[in-house]
Amino acid sequence: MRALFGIGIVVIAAAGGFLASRYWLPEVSKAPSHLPALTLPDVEGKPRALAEWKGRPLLINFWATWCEPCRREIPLLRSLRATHAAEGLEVIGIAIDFRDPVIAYARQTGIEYPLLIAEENGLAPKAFGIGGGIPVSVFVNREGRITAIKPGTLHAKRAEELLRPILQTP
Amino acid sequence: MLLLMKYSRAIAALVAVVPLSDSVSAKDEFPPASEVFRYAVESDGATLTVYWDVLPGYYLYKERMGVASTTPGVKLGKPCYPKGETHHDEYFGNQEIFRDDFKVTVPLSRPAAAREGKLDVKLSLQGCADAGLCYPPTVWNVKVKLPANAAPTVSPAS
Repeated sequence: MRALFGIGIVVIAAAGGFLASRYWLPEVSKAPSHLPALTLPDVEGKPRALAEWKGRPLLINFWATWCEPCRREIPLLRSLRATHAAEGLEVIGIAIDFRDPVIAYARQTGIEYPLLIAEENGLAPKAFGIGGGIPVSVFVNREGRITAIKPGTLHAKRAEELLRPILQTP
Repeated sequence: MLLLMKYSRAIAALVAVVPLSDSVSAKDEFPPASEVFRYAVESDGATLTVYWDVLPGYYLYKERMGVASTTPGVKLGKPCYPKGETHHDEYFGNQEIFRDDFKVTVPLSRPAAAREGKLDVKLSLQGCADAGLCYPPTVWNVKVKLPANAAPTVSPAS
């Protein structure tokens, strides 16, 4: 009886582990602890290394022009950048999209923060240990440590909660 | 097959709402596209049918769906979609989307005396979650069993 109970616990634990790995924190568990060494072209085609922004708190936002919730959160990202400019916050948009539609959309909406083009090959999200859908927002502190990864639409209250740890000065 | 798809859909929906104590809450998590957009494909030799089963709260864009054959000698015609739901997108305007269960039929043509075999199909798709997440455009490769074509009937000489 006790042996059966033990086997049951092991089976439940294994099933739980399997489901957790698939649904609970599937991507965050694969995320690097620090900002990966990644260089991507900007909208002018100039290579930009993420290390360029080292020392500043960063909100890195994976987005695309074909992604409606991504476009919907851009005004919030612009507002957060303006609100926390004195604390050094920089927002970096990494587009899982091609250069031409990104340029057209950026011109139309007047996005001021840096936009990098990752196209659709999945390499840039992979460097952050993320996959699946977008938008995804990655919060990075001044030491380059990733403090949070938030898949899905970012809302103002949640954004402020996630920004708080990265805006602190050491 | 369709019954199995139903059960796995229910399990996935239940698991996706399990609460978390970490800074990333369950509502922040989304299942992978393969769990959200499930399908079964079959063919009677003259038509290819794709049965889609989309998780509740998710949808597929008609304009970004496609079915193509990569098997030499097997041609697929224009897919026939059911009437979808109109979804307004501020940037792209009105878009037709599909939710839940629906099927897409595609006329198939191949040599008259074709043997039983496998058809390689590319399914293209792109969809989103109502909760505010979109999956990138993707192409899935599928193998479909094709029955042998019946031998052509010959009318008796009168």
